[in-house]
Amino acid sequence: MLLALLLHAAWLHRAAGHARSETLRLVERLELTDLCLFPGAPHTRHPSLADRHSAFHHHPTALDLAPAGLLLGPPSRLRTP
Amino acid sequence: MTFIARHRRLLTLACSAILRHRTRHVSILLVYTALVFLFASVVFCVEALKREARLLLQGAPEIVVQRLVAGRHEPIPAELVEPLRRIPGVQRAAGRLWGYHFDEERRVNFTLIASEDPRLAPRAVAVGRGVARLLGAEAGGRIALRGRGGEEVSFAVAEVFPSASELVAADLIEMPQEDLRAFFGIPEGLYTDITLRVANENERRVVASKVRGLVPDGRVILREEIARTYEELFDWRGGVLLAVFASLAASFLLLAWSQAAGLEEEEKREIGLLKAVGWELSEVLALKTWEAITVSLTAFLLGTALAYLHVFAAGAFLFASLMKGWSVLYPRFALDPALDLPQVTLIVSVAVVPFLLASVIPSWRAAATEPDRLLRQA
Repeated sequence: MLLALLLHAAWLHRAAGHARSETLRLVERLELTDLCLFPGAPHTRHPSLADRHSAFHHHPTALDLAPAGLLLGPPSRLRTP
Repeated sequence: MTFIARHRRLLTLACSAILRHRTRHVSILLVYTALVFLFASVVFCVEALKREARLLLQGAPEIVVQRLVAGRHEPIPAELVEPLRRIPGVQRAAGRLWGYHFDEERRVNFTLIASEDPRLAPRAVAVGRGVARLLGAEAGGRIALRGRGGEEVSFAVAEVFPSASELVAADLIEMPQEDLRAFFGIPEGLYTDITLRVANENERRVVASKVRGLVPDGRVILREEIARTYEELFDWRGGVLLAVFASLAASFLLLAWSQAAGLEEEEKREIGLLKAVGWELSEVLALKTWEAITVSLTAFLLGTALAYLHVFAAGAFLFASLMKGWSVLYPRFALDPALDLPQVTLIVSVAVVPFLLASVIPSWRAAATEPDRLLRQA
């Protein structure tokens, strides 16, 4: 059963190759940097480009208003001073 | 009797013992399978998303240069492109123009990005599937966005990106640079950020440090950092889920331990009889280990197969919003199976080994007791 799952996964991965290369071309052409997972707020849409404080930028002492912030750990680059 | 023949007989005995106590074993098997299913689902989801991010972000620019003012991301002057292009090792430097548009009516954010694609005529756009779904747009149709002056700006939809690209482009609206400048009111001579292509991996850090010298008020983001961001992001989310499941797993192990520790009278009598007729401690232990292996491997295989179907055939419906993301404009994408031996090993080591220990140790303690004492206890 396990072998069947492994083989099925490898077969599906190979089958998805064409669609992925099409997406990869789009990423290269538009120079995209992030996945479109949480488009609700700028810092969740583009976490890799976000400012250190962008989750809290509305006013001093503001909290992160995007609900997705709970599920989105801050990148290590933003955790170091 | 050969080693294999001896263990084959022990396995047969173990199976018949499991069938004799089927009520207890079936209840353990059901809970155990459910736990393996949840754990394997999280592992499959996290690994599939991480691999997808890794493969797709291979096309991202090697270096992104942003300008910061008062700690915030601000447009960067176009005159910096040329000095950055002249840094040794840089193949290409280009200004990138993009921004967010919040649609008040639908309460959704779109990402608008400028391109030099000659196929896009003025006032024509290419849109992601998510945008097309939300605005009811299709190739050949039109969409209207509210401009910064409050007026409706209409665009012809030249293309809808293929559905396979939703993971990166669901909320994208691509338009000619002049249109984007006019829409956002960004004057000529400014870009959102500058991207650099540096083919030689060993030169990237050196180039990045030179960029920092040229743009002291800037922030330099390397592609490796982007990739690491996504690795951490999915690990974080997987961790959030696993923290919830950890209490379930602990309860189950406690249950398995207490079940095994308080061996039923019949089982104690069995162990006592086996020892009384001359079975060695190691043989009793082997029998009990085979029982635990049979239960745990059945639960492992069932749980893993169900998790595979749940994540890759049913779209991980139980916790898709938690693992993938959620918003008004939500990308629809199927996860590509990323099942490999390291994942299987991880599931085995986390799900099978603790159960084996929780089951075998109490049996070992019972088997180490004198047979007459065991029979009297029973």
